[in-house]
Amino acid sequence: MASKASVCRAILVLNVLYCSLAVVQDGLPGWHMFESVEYLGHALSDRENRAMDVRDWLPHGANLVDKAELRKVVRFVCKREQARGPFTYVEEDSGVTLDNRCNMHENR
Amino acid sequence: MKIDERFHARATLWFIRIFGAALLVDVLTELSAGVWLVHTGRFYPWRHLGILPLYPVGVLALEWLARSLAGIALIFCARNAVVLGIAVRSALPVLFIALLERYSNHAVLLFLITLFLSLDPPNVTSPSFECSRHPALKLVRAQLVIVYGFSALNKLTHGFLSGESIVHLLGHELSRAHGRLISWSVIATELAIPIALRHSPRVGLGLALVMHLAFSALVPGVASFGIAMVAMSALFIRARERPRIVLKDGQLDP
Repeated sequence: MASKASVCRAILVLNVLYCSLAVVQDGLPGWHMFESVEYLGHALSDRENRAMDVRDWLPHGANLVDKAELRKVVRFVCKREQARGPFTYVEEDSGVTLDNRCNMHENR
Repeated sequence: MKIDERFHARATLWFIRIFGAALLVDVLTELSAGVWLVHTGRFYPWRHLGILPLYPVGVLALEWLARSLAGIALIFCARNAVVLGIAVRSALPVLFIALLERYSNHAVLLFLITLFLSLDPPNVTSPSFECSRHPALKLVRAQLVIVYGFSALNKLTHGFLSGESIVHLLGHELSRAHGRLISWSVIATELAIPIALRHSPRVGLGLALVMHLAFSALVPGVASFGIAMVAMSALFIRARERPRIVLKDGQLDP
């Protein structure tokens, strides 16, 4: 019992230390739950100007919370659906564009 | 032993059963979300860490089967410590691999609870259960405090109180003032639940239930996380002190 208690204490200490590190170190998974959801207003359309919804390429209920991930999904769609390209991608509050090779460019 | 170190046998039984339900709901959520399409390449590799390659759909089906069987065993065989031990110890590596395939907070939580249970599977039918120490179950209680505490701390340090995150998450028809009100309420509730569970476990359990029901209704895909947190909350219901026997010479039997 004493050894089990010691193991549990050690796990608890490591657990708290790790979570403390995750608070100060960006990008480290911790108990980050929707604390920083970015505005993701955007439009993606194909060669024939048909609107495309990136959620059609995501599991139902997947919660996109930042632009970096949204752009990764857009690049995935662009590469996967090449036959429908070239695509037009516009972010409402930035000048990001998508080129024919599915790369993003900041136009500021 | 302090009273708050005691674990109520019946509450522990319900913790195990509700946790089993969380395991099962997690699999059902992934099934209904079409997660297999991630493994066929049709969907974006959502939450894939890249440490292990995405495995074929057949292996995913086996993973889901193993996790479902563990959940069912916990729901229906929570009284049997041997079955419970086999279920959590066999589910542990499966949950770890699933975590590498699809990282999420609820996957981490389900893995950690399973890990803690596998350290010392509780035998709730043992007559000495409520008088014994259960360091692994204390770890589960501590995990709840860690989750709510660090979640609130991360929100406080990442500008959640402005209300913008809530507006972006729930939709733009929500005003900034309402978003701010909801943000403050979420953090206040996250901080209040561990305190309430410590001082008035049933109130804390009710608060956790209401908050996670609201989250599950508003944000898709978080039901299994909420169920696991409610299960952990049940573990705070403490065993009452045993009635003391008065001996003939007037001394109390401890």
